[in-house]
Order: sequence, then C-alpha cells, then structure tokens
Amino acid sequence: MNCKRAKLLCNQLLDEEITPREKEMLLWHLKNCPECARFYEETKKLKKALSSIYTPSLSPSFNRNVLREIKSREEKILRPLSPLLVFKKVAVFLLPIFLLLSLLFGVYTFKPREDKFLATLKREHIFYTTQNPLISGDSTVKLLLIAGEE
Amino acid sequence: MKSKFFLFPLLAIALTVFSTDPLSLLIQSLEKERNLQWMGQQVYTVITEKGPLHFKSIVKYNKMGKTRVEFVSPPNFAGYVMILEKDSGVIIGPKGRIIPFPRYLQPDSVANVHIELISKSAKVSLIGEEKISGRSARIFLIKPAFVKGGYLKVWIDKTTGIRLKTERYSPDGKLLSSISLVSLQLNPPLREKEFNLPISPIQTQNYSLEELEKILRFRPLLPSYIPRGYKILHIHPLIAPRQKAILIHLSDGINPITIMESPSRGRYFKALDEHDTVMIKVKKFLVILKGNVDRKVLEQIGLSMR
Repeated sequence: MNCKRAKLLCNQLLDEEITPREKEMLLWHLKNCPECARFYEETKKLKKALSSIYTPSLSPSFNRNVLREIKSREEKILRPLSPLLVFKKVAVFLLPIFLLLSLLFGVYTFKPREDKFLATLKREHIFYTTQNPLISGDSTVKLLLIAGEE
Repeated sequence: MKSKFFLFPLLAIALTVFSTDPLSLLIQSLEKERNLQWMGQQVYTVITEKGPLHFKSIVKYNKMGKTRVEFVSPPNFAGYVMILEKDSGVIIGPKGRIIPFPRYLQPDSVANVHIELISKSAKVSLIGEEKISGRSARIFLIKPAFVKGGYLKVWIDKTTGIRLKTERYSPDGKLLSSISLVSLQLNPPLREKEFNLPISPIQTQNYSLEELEKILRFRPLLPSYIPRGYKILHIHPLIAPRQKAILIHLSDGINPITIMESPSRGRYFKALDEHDTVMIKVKKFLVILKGNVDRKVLEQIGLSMR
C-alpha cells in the first residue's frame, strides 16, 4: 500500500466505511509510516473538531408543511377556473381599453345640448303646424318621419 | 230706421257669399271643405336634405272634423296610421305602437283663428284654373303680405272647396313639399270607430306669464318685436329631463313660427345649416326660432326678446 492509498483509506476508516481487509492493511502501513500516521492523527482531530460544531436542524413539521403547500398549489393550478374569476380577469383586461375607446368615441360623437333642443323644437313646431289648415298635410308627413326615427 | 240697421249684417253676409275676390273665394272654400265628409288617395313629396321622399296614403275626413291618414308607402312607413282629432292626435305604428301628440290651440277656434290671420296677413291671388284628377280647380297663390316668408300654391276644387293639391315653397322660391289628392270620393260611409283615439287626449292649456314663472322658476323672455300680420297663439312650458324651456307659437296663418327659450350657462352658439332655424343667445337664455320665413325675420324676433 502506498501513502496515497493509505491517506484515502484514513478518511474511510474515520467515517467507518472501510472493509476489514483494508483496515488491516492500513493499520500495518500506519505502524511503518510515520508521515501517514501523523496524517491519520491530524485528520482524526479535525473530524472531531468539526463534529463539535452546532448543526441547525429543521423542525419535524417542516417537511409536512412543504408537502401540504405543494399539494395545495397543485390543486389551484389543476382546478378549472370559475366563470366569475374568468369574468374578473377579462374585465380587468378590457376595462382600460373600454374606457379609452369610449373616451375617444365620446369626444367625436358627443351631442351638445343644442342638438337636443333643436330636436325638441322641431318636434314641437310640427305638433303646432298640424293645426294650421293650410299646411297641416305637410306636417303629417313630417310627424310621421319623426315617429319613424323614434 | 231700425229696418235699415238690419240691412247692414245682411249686406255683409251677401258680400262675403257672393264676393269673387281671391281672398274671399279662398276663405269660402276653406269653410266649405270643413263641413264635408270625404276620402281619397293622397300623394306627398317632401324635399329633404337627402333628396325627395314620396309617400302615399288614404285620407279619410269626417263631418266632425276628424282625420284619419293610413300610409301605404314607402314600405318602411306602410301600415302607419295617424288620427287627428281637434284636441289631440296619435300615430299608430304597424305593430300597434301608439305615439300620442298634443294639439295646443283651442280646438273650437283654431280654424277661425287661422282664417282671420290669413284674411289680415295674406296676399291671395287667383293665378289660373286647371283640371286635377278630372276635377276643375282654381289655383291660388298665397303669399305673406308683410314679411319675406314662404308661400303656397293651392289647387281648390271649384265645386266642393276641397284642396286637391298644395305646394309649399321657401322664401327663396324653393319647393319644400307637394301634396296631391289623386282620387276623391265624396260622402263615403265612414265608421266613427275609425276616428276614435285609442288613448285619452293629451291635455294642454295656455299659460300666463305668472304661471310660467311659477312652474319654471325663471321669468321668461317675450318678443318685443312681432312681425306685422303675426299673432302669438300659444305659450306653454316644457319640462323634460335636463330640459326646461318655454315654447311660444306665433303665426300669420301661412308660416307659423315657434320660439323655444331656455336658461343657459356658458357657451351656446351653433352655426345652423337649416334655412328655417336660428339660434341666438339673449341675456342668459338660449333662444331658438323656427319658421319658414327669411332668417333675418327670425333673428329680429330673437334679438327683441326681453
């Protein structure tokens, strides 16, 4: 056994992952090789020191909580969307577009109050002219046109 | 002496009856027409901005002064019926929809008021005779005597006094509409039921200035200038959602004018394309005037609102 192999087996011995045959060969080498024996002692001390350092441990419920959360997310993803939820999502998307379009449309088609007044005046004038004997016939057709529009 | 005084009214009646001046002939015909029962087919042509529109209807007129107009064409207006009573009217749609409309002027006096106005403000001339639908007709030209306004050409049946054709013109001589009676049946059997309104008439009344002020909570303006030959016939308020206004109707018997006024805030002016409408801001009121007269006449009335 050479020193390289012996140093590798030193670690395995300290981790108790060594076969009895390898252990026997290693111990014979350590007796005859002071350098490897020193390496073994130093490694042993280092491992002991490392094992004394505090290692935080997870609470026993951690895994349970993680699994529960994964399961609930899976359910949410796989569950079909309710119509209300779909409506909400669509509304949120369409509302700004609708507002913008109605604003643009409204600017161009906004009928000022005068137009309403004109329509009222036109109608009232025709009501009145139906009573004029000379032009009542003319008014009946105009009245009919207004009725058709309404 | 007493017997001489008796003679004056008789002489006046005789003069009216036997008079042959165009105005008297026209008035006699209008009065004669009112007391007849007849029906016939009427053809209308109305000139609109989009071009002429042609309508056909069956007109029924009974002795009570009620009119029933049954429209047969164009297709989109076929089936519409209009019933005009003295104090109210309705349009009945083909699917039974009823649109009532008011008749503002007092029904008993409306014809006499107009005849009086025509006799005072119209220049009537007899311009010829013509045969229309096989009937002899006199052609009258009726023009306003004192204002630049639209005029009428009327073909009146010599025997019955019924108007066989009427053409209405703008102040500039542009034809606005034409109505012809293409067939006529005198004293046909007409059922009274046909002239009954399917709903109760719309109540209308004339209002005093004080009443209007109370209803509308503002003092309305009235025209301080009324063209010669014209008379205010009716004033009434109009209260609708977002609309509070007063309507003033005046007439010379030929070209009625309607004034609508409403308190307004801010900017109110619009250049109008319509030849018969003027919109003016007077004090804090928006005043719109409509009538088949020269725009200057409408402007003058509008600017005189006080």
